[in-house]
Amino acid sequence: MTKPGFRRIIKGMAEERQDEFRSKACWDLTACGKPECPLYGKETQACWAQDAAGFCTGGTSIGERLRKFCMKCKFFRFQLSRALGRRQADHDIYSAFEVMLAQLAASEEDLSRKVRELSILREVGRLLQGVHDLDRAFHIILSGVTAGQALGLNRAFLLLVDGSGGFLEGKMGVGPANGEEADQIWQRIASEKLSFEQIAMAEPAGNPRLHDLARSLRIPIAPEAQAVYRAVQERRAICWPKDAEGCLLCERLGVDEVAVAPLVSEDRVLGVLIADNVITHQPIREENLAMMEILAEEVGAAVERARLHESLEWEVRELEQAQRILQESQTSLLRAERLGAMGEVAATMAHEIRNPLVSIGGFARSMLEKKSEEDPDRLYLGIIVEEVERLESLVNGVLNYALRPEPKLALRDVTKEIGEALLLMDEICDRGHIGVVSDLAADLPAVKLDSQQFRQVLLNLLQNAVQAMPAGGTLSVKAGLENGLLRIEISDTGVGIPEGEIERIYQPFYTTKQGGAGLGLPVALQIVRNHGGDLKIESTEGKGAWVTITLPHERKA
Amino acid sequence: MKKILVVDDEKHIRMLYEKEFTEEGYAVRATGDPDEAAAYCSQENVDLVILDIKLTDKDGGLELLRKIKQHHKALPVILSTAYPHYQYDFASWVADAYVVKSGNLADLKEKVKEILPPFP
Repeated sequence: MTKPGFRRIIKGMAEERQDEFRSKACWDLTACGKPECPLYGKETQACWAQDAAGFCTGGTSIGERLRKFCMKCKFFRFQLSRALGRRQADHDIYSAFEVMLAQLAASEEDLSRKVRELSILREVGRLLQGVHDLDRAFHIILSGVTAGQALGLNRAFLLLVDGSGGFLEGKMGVGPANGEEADQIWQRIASEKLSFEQIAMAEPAGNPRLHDLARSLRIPIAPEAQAVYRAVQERRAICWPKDAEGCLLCERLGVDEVAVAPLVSEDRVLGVLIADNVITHQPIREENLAMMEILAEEVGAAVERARLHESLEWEVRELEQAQRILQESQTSLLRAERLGAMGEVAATMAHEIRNPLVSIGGFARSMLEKKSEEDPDRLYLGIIVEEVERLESLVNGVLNYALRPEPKLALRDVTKEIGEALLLMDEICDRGHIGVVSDLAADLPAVKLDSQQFRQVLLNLLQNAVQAMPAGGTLSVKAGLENGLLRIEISDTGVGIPEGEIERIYQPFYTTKQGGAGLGLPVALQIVRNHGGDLKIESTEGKGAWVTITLPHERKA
Repeated sequence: MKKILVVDDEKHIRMLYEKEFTEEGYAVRATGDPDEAAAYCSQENVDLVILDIKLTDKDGGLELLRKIKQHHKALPVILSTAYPHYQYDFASWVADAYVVKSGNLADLKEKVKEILPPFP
């Protein structure tokens, strides 16, 4: 193994500084002279003893660093020759050898980095499988930029092109908001030994401060935001320093440099992936950009996948809805057919029944009128007359339901129609100790009605309400406009409708009343629907019932 | 005595009307055959016709009504039917009154008396 051997040598050299150089620091010799160097002032260490991510490298590999800086450094060359036990004159040969060794070490390092990057890409790909939620997918990809096991950049942001196509809007941010938070996060990751999967699958908006920062970003795709503009125009990842012309992003993010990779899908730019090292201030390297490009491609693919998934889901929903409508139509068609057939049969039956009823009732009444008050037959004849009347009323209901003509519509004043219907109920309400509350909005618009049929609806409903309050109560009638429709509400404080029976009350011949035909409500519903409106009943057993009629109305002049 | 012609194919209804209107002081003739009814209108001095119209034999009653109104313009006709919806039928409008058949003849009797008082 070349690398550990080489490391040992240079480590030894670092500890064995010669007197000749004791008065000078390495940065004096390399002329980099940066006080922010972590080794600045540390006399016993040399700059090249730092690892590959050290300060002086300027983002270059260790091999490049040796070639560019160290081999030009008198101090380095001296120590190298001493360590190898050679004379100064032989320095160049050994230097060349060491450079080769260093390059080999660097290649090894490159290779292991590439393996690491590939495994992260594979991991990102694996985690993205089956993820249809875009936020979740974005978080996995952004984690690929920030996680230490991956690119290890400090922060990553995702910006998407807005509807106008002229701006990029922040969608999500991952990473620490400041140095203190960075320490906490990185310590936690280290102490809990969090895997990449655990980091990537965490809550997408896990850091609200950074998420808010991301959401506040709105960057024009224009020359004043050069970093973004160039990345989008050239369709490649670029690194843009603060000092360069027009780095709006550096300004907004408060960083020295920023890396931007465009998100391209089917030749269309969807947004950008942005990364910075706001905490460590380490330079962003060329390899980071290449990886960001690959991760940006993943974002594009995730967006496409999500869109496809969404459109498939939408189609499934549409199909389901279509199927439901079809089923409902089928059911109502069957019901209509059944009712239609039933109506015809009922009409014929009703006619056949009515004629004998006329004879029975007529003769019974005729006989009853001739009987003296004391005659015991009066009671029985009275029963016949009464029962015949009940049957006749049932027959009338059936015929009304089965043979209802189309409404003859004319513009009517609803307030007047309701007022007249209430007037007809006045006496019955008085007798039944029922208070009437009428709340009709002023200036209601005219409604196209068949006055006679509408009167029948109101009377049916008002009679139902009254009959539901055998011990008295309050009958309320309200009318007003709601959602562009006329709304009439008739409510009572009566016995109500038992739960579970509310659906059945619309069916013909269903009744809760002694002697009722069970046709009042079906007839009312049919009439209201023939008027283009609807009728709905709600009830709480023991508290009362509320009938709501909605009808289309004419626009007010 | 005022003459009433009852046209109804239901025998028991004819019997009922004959009995009731005889008791009310009218001379009543009843038939279930529209042709016989038309002939009777022409031969006798009928003062009022109570005519049944029905769904299954629609033309029978309404056709007779048309004939009566054509040949005896002044002869009043009361339509008596089991179907309340006939009142919407244009053809029935030429009748002088319209009643829905019932075991309670009060409505019919009132209409008859209104059009044809039994004792002038």
